[in-house]
Amino acid sequence: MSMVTLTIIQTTMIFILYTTLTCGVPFFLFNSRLRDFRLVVRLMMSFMIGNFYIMNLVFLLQLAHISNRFTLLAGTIIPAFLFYLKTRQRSVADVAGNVWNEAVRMSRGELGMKRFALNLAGSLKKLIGSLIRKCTGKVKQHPLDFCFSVGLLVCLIWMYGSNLLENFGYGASDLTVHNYWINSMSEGTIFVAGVYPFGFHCILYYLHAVFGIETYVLLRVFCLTQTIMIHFMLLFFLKACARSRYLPYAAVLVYVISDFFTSVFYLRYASTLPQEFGMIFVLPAVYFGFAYFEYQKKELEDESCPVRSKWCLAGFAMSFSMTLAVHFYGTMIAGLFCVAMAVGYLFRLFRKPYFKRVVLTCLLSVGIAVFPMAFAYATGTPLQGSLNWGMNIITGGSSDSDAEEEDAPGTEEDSETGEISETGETSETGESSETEATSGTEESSESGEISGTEGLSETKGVLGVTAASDSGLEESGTGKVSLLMLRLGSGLEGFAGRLSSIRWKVWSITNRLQIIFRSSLKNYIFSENNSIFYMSVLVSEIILFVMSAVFFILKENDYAARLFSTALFMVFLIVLLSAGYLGLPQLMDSSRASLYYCYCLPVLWCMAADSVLTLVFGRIRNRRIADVPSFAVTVGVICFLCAAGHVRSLYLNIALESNDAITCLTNIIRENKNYTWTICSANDERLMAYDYGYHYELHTLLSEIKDGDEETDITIPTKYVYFFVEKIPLDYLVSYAGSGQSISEEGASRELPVYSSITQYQGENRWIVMSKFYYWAEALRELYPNEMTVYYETDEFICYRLEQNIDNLFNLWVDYDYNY
Amino acid sequence: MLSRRQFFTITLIMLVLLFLFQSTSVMKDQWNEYGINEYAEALTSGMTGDNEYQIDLSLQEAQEYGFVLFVGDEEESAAGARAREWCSYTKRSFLGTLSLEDYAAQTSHCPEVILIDSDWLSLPGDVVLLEEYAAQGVTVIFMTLPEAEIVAQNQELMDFLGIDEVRQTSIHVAGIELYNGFLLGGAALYVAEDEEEEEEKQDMDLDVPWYITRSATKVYMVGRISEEDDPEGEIDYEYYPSVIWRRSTGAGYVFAVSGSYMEDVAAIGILNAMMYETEDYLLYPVVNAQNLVFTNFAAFSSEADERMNVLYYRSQKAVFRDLVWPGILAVWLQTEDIPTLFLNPKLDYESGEEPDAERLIYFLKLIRENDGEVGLTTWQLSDLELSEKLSEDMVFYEGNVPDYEFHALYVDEENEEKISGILEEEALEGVSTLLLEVNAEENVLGYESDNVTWQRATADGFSHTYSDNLRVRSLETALGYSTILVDLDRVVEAESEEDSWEKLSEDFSSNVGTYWKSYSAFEKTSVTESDARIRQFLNLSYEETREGEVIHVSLENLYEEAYFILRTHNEEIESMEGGTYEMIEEGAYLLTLTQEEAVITLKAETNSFYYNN
Repeated sequence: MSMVTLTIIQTTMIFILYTTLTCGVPFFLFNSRLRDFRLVVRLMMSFMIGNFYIMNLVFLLQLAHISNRFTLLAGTIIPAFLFYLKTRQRSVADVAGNVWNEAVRMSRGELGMKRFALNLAGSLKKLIGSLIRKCTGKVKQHPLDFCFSVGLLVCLIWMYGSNLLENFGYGASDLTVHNYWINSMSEGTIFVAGVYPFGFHCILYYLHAVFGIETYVLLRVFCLTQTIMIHFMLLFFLKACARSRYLPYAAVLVYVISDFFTSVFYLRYASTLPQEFGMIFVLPAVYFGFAYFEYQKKELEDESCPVRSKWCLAGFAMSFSMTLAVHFYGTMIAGLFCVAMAVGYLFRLFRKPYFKRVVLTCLLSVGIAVFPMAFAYATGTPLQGSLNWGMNIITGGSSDSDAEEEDAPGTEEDSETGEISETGETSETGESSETEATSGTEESSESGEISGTEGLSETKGVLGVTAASDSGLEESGTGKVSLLMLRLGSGLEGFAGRLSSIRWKVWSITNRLQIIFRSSLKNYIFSENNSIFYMSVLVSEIILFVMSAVFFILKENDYAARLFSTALFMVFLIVLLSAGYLGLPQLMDSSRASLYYCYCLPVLWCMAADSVLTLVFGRIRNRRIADVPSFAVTVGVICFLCAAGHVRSLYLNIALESNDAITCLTNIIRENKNYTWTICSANDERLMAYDYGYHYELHTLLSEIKDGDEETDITIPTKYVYFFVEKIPLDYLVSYAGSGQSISEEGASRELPVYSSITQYQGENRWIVMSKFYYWAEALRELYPNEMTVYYETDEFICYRLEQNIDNLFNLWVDYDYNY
Repeated sequence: MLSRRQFFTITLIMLVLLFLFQSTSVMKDQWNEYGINEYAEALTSGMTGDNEYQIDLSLQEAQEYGFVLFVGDEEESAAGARAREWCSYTKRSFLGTLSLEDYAAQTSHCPEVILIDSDWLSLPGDVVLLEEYAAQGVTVIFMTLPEAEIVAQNQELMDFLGIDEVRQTSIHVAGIELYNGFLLGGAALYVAEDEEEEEEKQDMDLDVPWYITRSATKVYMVGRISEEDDPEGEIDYEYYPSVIWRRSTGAGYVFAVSGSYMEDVAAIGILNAMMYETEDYLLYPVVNAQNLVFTNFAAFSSEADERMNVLYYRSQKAVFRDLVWPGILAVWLQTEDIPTLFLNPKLDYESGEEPDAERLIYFLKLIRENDGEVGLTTWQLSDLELSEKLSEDMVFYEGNVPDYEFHALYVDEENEEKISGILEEEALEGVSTLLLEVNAEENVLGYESDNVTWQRATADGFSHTYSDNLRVRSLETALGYSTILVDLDRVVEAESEEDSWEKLSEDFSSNVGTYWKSYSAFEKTSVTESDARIRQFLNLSYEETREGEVIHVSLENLYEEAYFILRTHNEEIESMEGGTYEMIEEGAYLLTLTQEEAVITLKAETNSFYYNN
């Protein structure tokens, strides 16, 4: 089987498992209770319930140190079964009695096994048939929605799935850190590197522990599932908030396939990262907030109205809690949207029936998310490095500690593993430079600085010009005031002067803001410096503000509040994006804020267009006719993207590990017994193979050989030892003048780089290390030709396998002519 | 009240049943061809000693052929005898020299392998020569090593052998451990668990020099440090005294054996295993015969009645019929061996008692029913001339089973030297193979004359010491051959409970059922069948080449089937033409070649991946 086929199977399997577990099962269980909601809301709610339950189940069992396959399964199946019985209004005793009766009948021979199996199969067939009928019924009801949804799914798989088939290795260096944390959960240690939002890790750990999927496989391919869910949550949010049926598809498709945005966003989706996973829960939280205000009002006005507000509060609590449990940045964005929502719903928020519940729900959601972390902290687990940074920001400490945040996970990794010191998760987001087509945005903290500086200098330049023109205008304004003074007299002189001064100040500030925002959008969001993009944002904002006022006048307060909240949120977001330029505390690195901004732009555009369409066509009673404009706009947008050549090309990430290495690792795990083998390599196999075998650090081996002599005894105590050599060393985040060159005697003859971190495997150092390693391996092979064999070889990679007697290990110290 | 019709019907049914039951026994008895040796046809024409493969080379011939150079006295030393024997079995040309220096002076031609008896080594000069040969890719094998004190004093020799340190010149180890992958049959730990086992099985030389070998070496056999010497278990296995090891020079290999393991027949398996370690695969011919023989089956006379009555309260004939035979049969059925019994019509030829002919027929029928074979024996309790004894036996046999062709003759140790003188006599003209007693210091197989071979028993059925076990592994590795000898004279001459059949049969059934299990791929044979395979093995000559994954084998002197072992370092056979194959263990196959040209295709490495890029 090829690795591509295997990857497709793995990805499909993981997608099915995850969606069934977190969406399908809750949907099945809660369908009857959520029947008053629209389908998209039910799906959102089910998804929140599923994730929330799994996440907190894992937290609970991990904190109790009883987490394993059996407890996880029991914790999933038993409550689900009991809940199912409850919804069907059947008691456990009844069911147990029935099972007992059937068992007795079978034992007596009254009921044959085949008959029992037939009955079971009949029930299953009935259930599946019912599900299929329901699904086809929905499809028949909304064929266009189905087509658009399938089209979107295909686009997502095509755009984001291709990378999985091209690059098997991790696309981000901090995945090794997450791998390590999840591995530790397998050993019953959560928060191994300190207290950190572990929601993302809980979900992956659950899939690993319950279904036996290797963690490294999950980290390789789960990104596609995650990305699909991110986009479908965006779609569901828009479908739930907007009044146009088809505009949401247009908005999401623009986000997915257009070439308007920089490639950085898309590259991040190629890796399974917690920040992106947290994005899934941001918009549902907002929607449930909106929905609460709407339904609560209806329930207060009409007591016969079905009770939906409590479900909305629960949905809000779960989704907001999960943003906090997965990644703090998601919480910040959700929080900002909530603030905007609070402003939008100010007219209702402080009323008694609302305020108390909202506050309690917020406290509850935060409490649930914080509880595991607080518990761990209270029991002596220190904060993880990046949390210290966050705490500094909150407590007003130094905010200029991006590096500190970046270093934190790496530092942990260093201290824990003693070998990997790649920059942490935050460093990865430094990748604002779109020229860095590497997963490599790590490095791009550097490039981020560069682009940021460029942006700033440009802004300053524009500001300088503006200031100059301001003064010119001020001078001319002064002349006008003099004429007025002459005409109207000295009484008005002071007032006019002040007015003029305020006007010019406002104009100046507005102008400056406009330039800063424009610069931010240009630097971080859009792929081209085209004023149309900027104007589209500006116009959409204006439309939303205006339309919110119009709909307030039209007494459609809920819709108006949503429009206003969205508009205000987008303002908050651009302020967050430009915080550095504005001299405000930078709560979030601009490159990271830009991800959220970009993700929310479809919301801005969609709601703006929706408000206009609703105003113009909203009074049409016939839904089919009313949907025509939105359908036309959607088709038009798609046609425009295709016809005008604005469909983006596939962005392929650069993996930090070769495909050959992953292929070898997969084969090694498949064909050997656990813990009978060791991989000696410079890559991430240590953490990938954690549950299956051992790892020996390549640089450590070469250092020992370098420092040793004939008396030195170097052994690796497993039956098989695999040595991974890159014939053409890859650029691990850092390129150099000779990038792409093959290993050679020249490389081997250089001094072994002496670094304690990932630096030893970066740039030219990797070439030197690999060259030495190759010649050492060949020397060993010459001594042990039957024991040291070539296991796998391509033009770029070679894997040796050493088979040894575990009772009498080979001494790996060899004089290979480059022992220095 | 039965009617006549009913009575008639019942009677008829009973008669039919009686007929059905009895007829099978009658037919089995009547159609039993006990008077014919069914294995006589195993021998075909051409299987004679004049076609035996010759290994000796002159120095001039050595310029043209690959060969094995033995440094030592090939005639007198045990190592020399083993070296010659190994070359003979593996079809390697052999050249002996007493001095490496002299050989080097006479020719610059490199042998493939140099076997060294260290008594004939001149230090340190020869080490320099050996280094030169090793640098040219020659495999150097030290069949014996100089005394540890001498090794310790000679740094050049230590470096050449890959010895880092001579920690002690002698240490008493708890036992010996043989590692997996060297000899067929896997790993073996020769450490007694208790004193009883120590007494019963431990016969290896446990006083060994403590050589520590590390860089660029691979160890195959070590001494296990006793708890007394390492009470805390602090010594790593890598630092245990090496007994058999290899050092890689980069171009060639240097093997060393500490102790006297290369002086008995175990050497030929060890040498084969060493050659396997130097190659990416090894193909060599084997006999493929597993014999189980019972000698001195004296069930036809009553000379030992007095002794039997004391021990078993039965007569000699009754003991063999009621105790010995069922015991033997149980083992045959369990192991599925083909039994060969060497019968003694009489024990004492001076007693005047005539052997029981009816009992002979009785046992011949039973033996034939179980596909066994019968042979002659030289052993007797009296002092009658050997030729007369055998003539008298033949008269007895010809009088009762005139058509039975006796091909096998068991020769006890006392008569080994005498037998060659009487082989031409009329009584023995049908004999084609001699079965000799176990003797670890003598060759295993060979031609006694052009028409008669000899094959030596390799194990005693009643005891199995650690050395025996190592020898069995070695011979199975080298030849795929074993003959377990169960000498029933111990029953006949039993004087105490220790020699009682109950005790002996327990030992022999547990030994036979245990230590040969790993070699089930080899074929069970009677002695005459084994003779035919030995002739094929000794006469065979072959050439083999490998191109990529394909091994071509060309045979000469193929009669019906020839057998080879292919060891592959875990490569697997994909297909074979010109014969069949069967796995012995991982990386080792038994090949049966039926045509003079055979092609073996190994699986390509790329096929072995579950997932390909």
